[in-house]
Amino acid sequence: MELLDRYLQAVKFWLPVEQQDDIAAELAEDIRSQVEDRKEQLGRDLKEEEVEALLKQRGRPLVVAQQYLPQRDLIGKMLLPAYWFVLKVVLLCYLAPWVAVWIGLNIFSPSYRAHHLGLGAITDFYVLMANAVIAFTVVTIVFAVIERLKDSSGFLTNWSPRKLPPVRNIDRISRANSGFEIIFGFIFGVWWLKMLWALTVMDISGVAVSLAPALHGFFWAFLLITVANIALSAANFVRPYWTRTQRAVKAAINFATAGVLAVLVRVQPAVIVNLPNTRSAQVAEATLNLTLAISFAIGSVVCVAIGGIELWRIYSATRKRARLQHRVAA
Amino acid sequence: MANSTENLSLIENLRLELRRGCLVLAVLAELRDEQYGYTLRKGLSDRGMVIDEGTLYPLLRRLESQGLLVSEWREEEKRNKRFYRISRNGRIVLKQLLFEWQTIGLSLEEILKESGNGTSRQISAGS
Repeated sequence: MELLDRYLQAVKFWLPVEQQDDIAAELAEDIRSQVEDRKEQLGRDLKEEEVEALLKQRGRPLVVAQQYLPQRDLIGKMLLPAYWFVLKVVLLCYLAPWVAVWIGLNIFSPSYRAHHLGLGAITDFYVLMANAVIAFTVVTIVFAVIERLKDSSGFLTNWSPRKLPPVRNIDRISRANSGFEIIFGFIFGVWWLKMLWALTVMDISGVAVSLAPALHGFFWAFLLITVANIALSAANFVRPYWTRTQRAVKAAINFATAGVLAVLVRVQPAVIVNLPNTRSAQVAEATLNLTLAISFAIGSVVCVAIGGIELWRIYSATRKRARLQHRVAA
Repeated sequence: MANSTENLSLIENLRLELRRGCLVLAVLAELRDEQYGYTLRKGLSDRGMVIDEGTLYPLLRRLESQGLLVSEWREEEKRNKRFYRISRNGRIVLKQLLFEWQTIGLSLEEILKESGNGTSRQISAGS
């Protein structure tokens, strides 16, 4: 019965030490009884292949041992949907925009492209992968801790339907938001347009930061975008429900903004810094320009995403209406 | 063809799910007389309740740790065997579970009778 002993040894390996002998003894007895039964049926001793078949039918030692162990999941069935949701949010809000911005900067910014293609790209993606692994690990550890604590922390019992978020109506526009957009759009618009017109950001005791003259050409484009945005917010304030036209206007404004920002990424340098110390001025100028280029690229990606979402909502609402009309007609 | 294979596997899964709930009842009832694992498994199998050893032995351990069974190692036919029998608490639980089982059976019978009538009403209305 060497095969049986080997099988039992392999099963024992996966069992907790204090239960190993007890479980193995009972398992051995069950297998021996089965072998005895089989011997009686055949009227002879079992061949090695027959014992092998019998053990194979019981399953791999790991599987057999696992049946005696309490079920332990790193993240259980209950938390799994939330875990996937958070991972998707991380993917959508960090990794996907990161890649989109990187591609955008390489397309539109020659100075960025000079340092971030070839070997630079490998370094960039190494950083991205390292951050992705860290994000995945952190999310997994947090959920594993919640999984362990969920029973004792009152997570399952301390809740109320009153604390659930209100029913969301994606067609409803919050008047407070529209009001805020009008005020903020006006203040930001005036500040940004004034800078584009005068090209001076600051000039205090020898420290001068100004926009490159090339940015002056963007004044009218931003004026149009600002006016359109404020007009849309005002229309939304008066009529706080999304219509197809309102959504289409929002999509158009966002695509236009994305286009202007994408062109802005190419303007290098966008900012000129004058300091008493020329070396410090160069470093500050380079840092400011890179930050601006990345910000414009991120802004462009965000605007494309918002425009895309609005187009998708128009499309799905049209499809829903057509299906409803078809059903009514039928 | 694929549909019938899918159906067969679906039915098999549902059948296993249905039987899983009855296993505790069957094991407790069978252990009103003392037995060791292998004879218990054979006994259940002979009565149509086939249970594999990977399910039976962990279940026996669980029921013992819950105080529904008691066990002892004893020599029989020159071999050491672990004998199980139902505990006093196990008998009380078995009685309650049997009552629950019968109630479920009666409810199901009522439901099936009503659905049967509904079906026959629909059929007669259709014809």
